[in-house]
Amino acid sequence: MNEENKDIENFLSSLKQEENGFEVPEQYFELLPNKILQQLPKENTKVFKLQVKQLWVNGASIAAMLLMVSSLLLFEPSPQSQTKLSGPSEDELIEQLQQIELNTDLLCETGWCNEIELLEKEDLSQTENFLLETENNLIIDAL
Amino acid sequence: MKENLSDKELIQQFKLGLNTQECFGVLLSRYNRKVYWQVRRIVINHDDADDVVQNTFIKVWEKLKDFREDSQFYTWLYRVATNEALNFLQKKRANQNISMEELQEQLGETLTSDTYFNGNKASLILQQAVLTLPEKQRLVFNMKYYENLKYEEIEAILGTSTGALKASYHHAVKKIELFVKQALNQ
Repeated sequence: MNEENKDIENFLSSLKQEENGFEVPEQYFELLPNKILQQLPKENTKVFKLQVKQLWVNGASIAAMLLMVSSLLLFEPSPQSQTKLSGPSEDELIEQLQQIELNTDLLCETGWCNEIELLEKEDLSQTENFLLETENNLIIDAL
Repeated sequence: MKENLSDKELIQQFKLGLNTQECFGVLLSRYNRKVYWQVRRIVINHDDADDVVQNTFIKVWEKLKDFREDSQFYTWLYRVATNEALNFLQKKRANQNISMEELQEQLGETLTSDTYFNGNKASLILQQAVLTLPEKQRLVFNMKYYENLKYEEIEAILGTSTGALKASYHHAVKKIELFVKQALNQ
């Protein structure tokens, strides 16, 4: 059996020296990958449905920013502090900011009425619809 | 950059939906030649092989997210390609309403008429000899002789035990030897 196998191996290797004769058109293998890739469906875009919780967090962030901006605009230094050359200290500022409550009327006066109204209504469907309509433009490369 | 990633890493990224086309493109560039030759030796004609290879990769694209990674990617890919090629031949046979023997004869004739076959007498005889083999023996012979695949790899592709594959290869070689010797003596 071993000798028979040896004979077979020799026979096969003698044949293998010959080219097997098959050919392909010029540049076939260089062009094939693109030819196949073009037939694939376009890359799926991942659209994450916004969770109410996420919007709530975003809303809270916006409210905090609004609070910050409005308090800076409405901040009136006390007569005592006006006499100081260097203005109020950081601690004093923080204390004063903490004392100011979030007042929607106040924010409305500074031009944020529409945003406040939207947040109050929690009109999430509009935002979701907008994102779903524009899903093809949103490509998220990394999770 | 993705060219440096292993098959496994590329598949993981593909499954996560991260740059799927790019990941698939790397796999495609890595294996398109091997798949082509595997398919070409089954269907013989270049244009047919081209169709089958494209269908194979499109199928792989669709199924890759479900690939369980029990086996190596390339053995799975070879399996898909082999099935596609065999299905193609079966359809061809059914369309023409001919037997397997008649189809093999036809494939042998295709060799001489194919623009993309330019073998000398010895390689033509060898290919004709391979075409006389039963389907399974032909597949085993091609994978072992041309692709240098290990029996374990062929086992994963064809789902046949190593012992049975060794026997198939042995029978295939004996038949080829006989065919070639007779043809050369004529």
